[in-house]
Amino acid sequence: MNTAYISTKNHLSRRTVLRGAGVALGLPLLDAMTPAFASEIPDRHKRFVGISLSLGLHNPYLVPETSGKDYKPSRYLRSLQDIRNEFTVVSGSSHPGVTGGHTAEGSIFTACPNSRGSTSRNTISIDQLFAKHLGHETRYPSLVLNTGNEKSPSYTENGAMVPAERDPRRLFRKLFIDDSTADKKQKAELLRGGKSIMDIVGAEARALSREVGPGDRDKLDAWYTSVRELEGRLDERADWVHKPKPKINQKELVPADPNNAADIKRVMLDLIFLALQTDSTRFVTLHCTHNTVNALEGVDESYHGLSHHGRDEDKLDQLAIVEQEMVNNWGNFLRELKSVDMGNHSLLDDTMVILTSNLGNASSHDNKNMPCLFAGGGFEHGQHLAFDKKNNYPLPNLYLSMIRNAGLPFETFATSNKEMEGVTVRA
Amino acid sequence: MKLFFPLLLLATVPQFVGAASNDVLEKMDAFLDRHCFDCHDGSVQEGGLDLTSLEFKPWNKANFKRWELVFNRAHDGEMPPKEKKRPESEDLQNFLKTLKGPLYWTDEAKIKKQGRSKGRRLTRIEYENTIHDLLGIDIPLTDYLPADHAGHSFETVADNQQLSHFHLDKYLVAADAALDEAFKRTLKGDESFKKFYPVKELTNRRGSGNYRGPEFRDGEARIWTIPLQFYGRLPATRVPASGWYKITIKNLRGINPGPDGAVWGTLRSGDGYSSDPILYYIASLEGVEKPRDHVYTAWMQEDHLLELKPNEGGQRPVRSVSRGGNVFYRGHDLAKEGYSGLAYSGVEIERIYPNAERWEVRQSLMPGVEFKDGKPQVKTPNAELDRLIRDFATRAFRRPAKPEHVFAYQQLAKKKYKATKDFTASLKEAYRAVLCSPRFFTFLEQPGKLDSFSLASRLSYTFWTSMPDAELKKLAWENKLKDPAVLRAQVNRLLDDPRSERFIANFTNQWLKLSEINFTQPDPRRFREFDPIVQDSMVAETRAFVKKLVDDNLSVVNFVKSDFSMLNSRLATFYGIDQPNIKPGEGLQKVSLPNTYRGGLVTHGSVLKVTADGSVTSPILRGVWVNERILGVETPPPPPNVPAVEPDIRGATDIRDQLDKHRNIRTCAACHEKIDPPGFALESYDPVGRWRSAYATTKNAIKVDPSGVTPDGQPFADIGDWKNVYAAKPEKLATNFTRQFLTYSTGAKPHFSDRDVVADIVEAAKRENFGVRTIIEKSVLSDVFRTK
Repeated sequence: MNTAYISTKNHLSRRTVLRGAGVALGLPLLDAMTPAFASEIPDRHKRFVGISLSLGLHNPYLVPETSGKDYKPSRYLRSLQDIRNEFTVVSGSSHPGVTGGHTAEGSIFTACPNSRGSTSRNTISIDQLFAKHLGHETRYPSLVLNTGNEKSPSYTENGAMVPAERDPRRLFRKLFIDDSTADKKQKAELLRGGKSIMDIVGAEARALSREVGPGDRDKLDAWYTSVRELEGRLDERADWVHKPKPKINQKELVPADPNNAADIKRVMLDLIFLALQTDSTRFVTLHCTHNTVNALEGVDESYHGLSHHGRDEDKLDQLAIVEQEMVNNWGNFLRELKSVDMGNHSLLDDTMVILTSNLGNASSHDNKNMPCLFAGGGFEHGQHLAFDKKNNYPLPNLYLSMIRNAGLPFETFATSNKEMEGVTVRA
Repeated sequence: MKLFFPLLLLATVPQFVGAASNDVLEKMDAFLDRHCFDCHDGSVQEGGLDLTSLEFKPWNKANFKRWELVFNRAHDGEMPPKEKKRPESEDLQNFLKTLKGPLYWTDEAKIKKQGRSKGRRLTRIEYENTIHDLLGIDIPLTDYLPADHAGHSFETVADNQQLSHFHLDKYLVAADAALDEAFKRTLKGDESFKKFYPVKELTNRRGSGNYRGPEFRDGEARIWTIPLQFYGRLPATRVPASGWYKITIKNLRGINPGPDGAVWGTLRSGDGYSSDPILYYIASLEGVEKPRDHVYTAWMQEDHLLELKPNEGGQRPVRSVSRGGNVFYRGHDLAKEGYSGLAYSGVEIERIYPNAERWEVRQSLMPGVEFKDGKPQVKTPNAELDRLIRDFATRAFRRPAKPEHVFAYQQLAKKKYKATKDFTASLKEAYRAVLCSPRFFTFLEQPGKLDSFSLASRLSYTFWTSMPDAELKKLAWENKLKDPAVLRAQVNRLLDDPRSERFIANFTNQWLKLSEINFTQPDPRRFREFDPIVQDSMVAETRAFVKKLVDDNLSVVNFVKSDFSMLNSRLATFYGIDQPNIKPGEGLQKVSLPNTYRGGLVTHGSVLKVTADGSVTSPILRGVWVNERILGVETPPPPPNVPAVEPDIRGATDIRDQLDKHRNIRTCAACHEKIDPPGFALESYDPVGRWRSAYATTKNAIKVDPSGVTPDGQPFADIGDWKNVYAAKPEKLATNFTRQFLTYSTGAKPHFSDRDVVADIVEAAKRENFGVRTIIEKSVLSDVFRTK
C-alpha cells in the first residue's frame, strides 16, 4: 500500500461555492416582525432603492406605445396594472455622454460621462450621496448589493466603487442577528482603537504624499480621504454597537434557486424590504448580474446569451420569460412596500424605487434609451413620460428630482440641467 | 530641419513645444493627405477619427493616445485598409519615424518624472500571503476583503484598484482577525485534535432516519452514484473548531472502475443540512482497484463535516436503494450488480498549522522576548515596545523603517501601556496600526530605477505573491540586486521554489481568465459528463502545462500548438482522447497527443469553458480572448460616435451566418475581421470544451464550419490549420507574452517608449527558441522591470 500525498491547500475554493448542481440557498422566512424603533421612526424620511439590471430590458416589450396618464400598458407592464398609479414609465431618456456598452455600468447611478467606458475617475452615485448626507440616522448608512458578484454601480465621492454584498445569508446576519455580549464589547473596544489608528495612518498618508512622485499623489490623497471618512463612520457605528438589532420571527423560506437569476433577485428584494421596514437603512442599490436562468420554465440559454437576441424570435421569447420575472418581482416589492402602513401613508410613499439599466439595447450594447421604471416617494405616478428616442432627455434630471424630494437642496447632479419635466410631487 | 525637444521642459512648457508640434504635423501632412484624409476627414470621420482637425499635443494624455493609435495602425499595416493603395515603403517609414520620435520622447519624459507604474497597493491575495509570512499564521483572510478587479488586464495594475473608506474598513477588520490569531497562538498556544474514525463510526448499519451515508460491507464504507443532496455525508466527522486539517482517507479504492481504470469522487466539507447547503470543495479523488491512503489538507469551518462521494459525470445512478430521501442498502449487492463506486476503510482527521509552528509565530510577534508560564517577561516595557515595533514595521514595510516612520506607532503603544499596564495589548494596538499603514499596503517607489528594497519586493511579489524572504532581504541590504548575474540567479531561485506555484496560479488566473471558471454553470441536463471533477482537472491541466513550459523553458508556440498536455484519466476520457498512455491513480501526467486538436493553451478545456457562456459558444467571446490574451491584439469597444447597429439575425441559419450578417456592416468589419477567425475555428468545441462537428442543440443538427481567413489573408480549414498559421509566428506570440508578463509584474502596461525594450527581449529569446523561461528572465533583467 502506498500513500499519495496531495496537498490541496485550497481554501480559496471556499468562495467558489455551489460547484455541484442542485445546491440551493436557504433563507429563513420572515413573516412577522417588530420594527426596531417603531416609535422612533420620524415622520416622512425619504428612502431610495436603486435596482439595476446589467442586461437591460427589451424596449419594445417594456415601453408603452402611447404616452401620458392613460397609456396602454406594454407587454411587460400588464401584470402591474393593480399598482399602475404607483409608478411612472420613463422612455427616451439616458445619461448624456455615457457610452461603452457593458462598461457603462459604472455610470448607472452616477450618470458620470465616461470616455468609451474607460472613465479615469467616476463621481458619486445618488445612493452614496444620500448616504453621505442622510445616512447617519440608521444602523447602516447604505446597503450595496449584487446578485452575482462584488461589483456595484455605487461609487464614493473620490470615485471608488463600493464593494457589493452578494451573499443573502451574510446580509441577513448583518441585519438581524445580534452579536454576543463579548463580541459587542470587543467591537466597541476596536472601534475606539480604530479612531486613534486612523489618526496616525491619516498623518502618515499626508507625510507620504510629500515623499512620493507626482504620479502617486492622487492615490495617497484617496487614502487620506478614506481615512477621514472612516473615522467619521467609526464614531457613528460606536453608537450602534450596543443597540439591539430588530427582532423578527423566522421560518424556513423557499430557497433561492441558483439557476434562476430572477429568484435570487427576489430573495435580495425580500431582504431589502425587511431592511427598510425595520429602518436598518434607507438607501440601497441592488445590481442584478447573475447569468444563469435555465431553471425558468421554457428557458435553456444563459441570460447574457439571450440578451444578444439579434431579433431572433426564439431567443426573444426566452428573454421575455426572464425579463417578465424581473419586472414582476419588482412589482411585488412595490406591493409589499405599499402594504406597510406608516400612519396616513404607506412605506412606498416614502421610498423612491427605480428599476433601470445601463443598456437601452443589450443586443447592440447601446446605452441610449435606458429602461426606466420609477415608483413611490410621494410623487405623482400612473403615467408614461415619453421623451425623444432619437434625441434623449437627460435621465440625471430624474435623479435631481429625487435628490430634492429627499430634502437636499442641490442645484445639479452630474449632467442634470433641471428637475425632470412631468415629475411632480403628489398633492 | 532636425526636431529638437527639450525633454525636461516638455511637460511643463507646452506652449514652447507648440511650435515644434506644428513642425511635426507639417511633416506628416503630405502622407496623411495621400493615405488617410479620404476617410478620416471632417465629413466622413471613419471610426470617429478626423485627422484633419486632430492637433499634435502629445503632452495631453488623450491626444497622445490618439496618435499612438495612428502609429500602431500604420505600423502594423492595418491602415490604410486593404482595399486602398499601400503607401510606398520609404514613405511609410519616414512617416513612422517622424511620428515615433516625439511620441517616444514625450513618454520617456513622463516616465522620468512619474514612473511607468503608479503606486499600487497589495491585492487581496498578496495581502493574505504577506500577513501569513509576516505573522506565521495561516487563517484565510481573503474573505474579509473586497474582490480585486482585473479590468481588461491584471489586478496588479494601479488604475484598476479602488480605495475608499469601505475598503479601509475591511482591511482593518482583516488585520484584527490576523492579529487575534497570532496573539492567541503566542500567548495561549495551539489547539490539537486527532481522531481516527473506523468504518463502523461512519456508517449507520441499520440505514434509518434520513440516512445518506455510505454502505457498511465487508469492513468497508462503500459509496455509490445516488443523486440525493448531501449523499455521502459523514456526520461523525464534524470538527470542533475552524482550522486547517489533515484528512486521510484510508485504503480508498474504486469499485468496478470504467475503461480509464478509475472511479472519481469529490471530497467536500460543509454544514451538510439544507439550512446551510453550501459545500466547500476540498479535492477530487481518484480511486483505482488497488487500495491506498489519500491525504489532503483543507480549511474546515467549525462544526462542518466531510462529504465523500463518487462524481462520475454521466454515470448511471443507483435508484433501487434510495426511497423518500433515505438510502437502504439491504437486499442489494451493488458491486455485483455492476455499479461503480468508491470504498474506504476509515477516515483520520488531524488539526494542523501548515504555515508555521507556534514558536515561529511567537518569534514573528515578539522576537527576543522571554516567556515564562506563557507570559512575556519584560523588564523595560517602553524600550521593548520601541524595539519590537521598529522591528515589526521594518519587516511589514519591507524596507528599513526610519525613526520618524515608526515614532507615532511607538507612541500609540506606550500611551496605551501607561493607561493599562497591559504590555501585549499595547503592542497589539501598535501592530494593528502598522497593518493599516500605507507603507504596508502600498508599494512605495520613487521615479527612476528601483532601489534595492523595491526591486526585492517586485521580485518576490511577482514570483511568490508575497513579501521578500531572508535571502532577498539580505541582498537588498547589501545592495547586490543591481548586479545582473545576481538578479538572474534570484529569478531562477524564486522560480524553482515551490512558492512559485502561486505565480503560476495567480498569473494564469488573470492572464487566461481562469479565475472565471465558476462564472457559468453549464446546464447539467445538457452536459452530463461535465462535473466538478472535470472542471477542477481542467484548471489543473492548464496550470501544470504553463508550469511545464516555465520549468523546461519550452517555446511560446505551445500556447497555440503543442504535442503534449497534462491530463489525468478523467480528463482524457472527457476529451475523448484515443488510447491515451495514462496510468490510472497517478493524477495529472504528461501525455503525448497524437494530433493538433487538443494540444496548446487555446484548446484547453479550461479556456474553452471560460470563453463560452455555459449554454452556448460565442465566436466573439472566444475570438476576443484569443486576440487579447494570446496574439496581443487589442479589440477596443466601438467608437463613441458610431451609431449602435442592432444586429438582425432573423433568417440566419447558424451562428456563422449570424456573424456574417453582422460583419457585413462596415463599421463592425474593421474589428470583426480580427475577432471572428479564431472564434470560428474554436466553434469545433462545445461550451464545456468537448470536440464537436455539429451543433447538437437543434433538431436538425447543423454542421460546424470552422474555416475562415486570418486578418492577413491566410485561409484555414479548421483549428488545426489555424494553429499552424500562428505556430509560424513565434515573434508575435513572444511579444504578447512579454507584454503580459511585464504588465503583471510591474503593475503597468508597457508604454510606448518601452516598445524597443520589448522587441529586444523577444529578439534575445529568439536565440533560445522563444523559451518561456528565457522571456521571463530577460524581462526581469530589462529596464522596464527595474524601473518604477
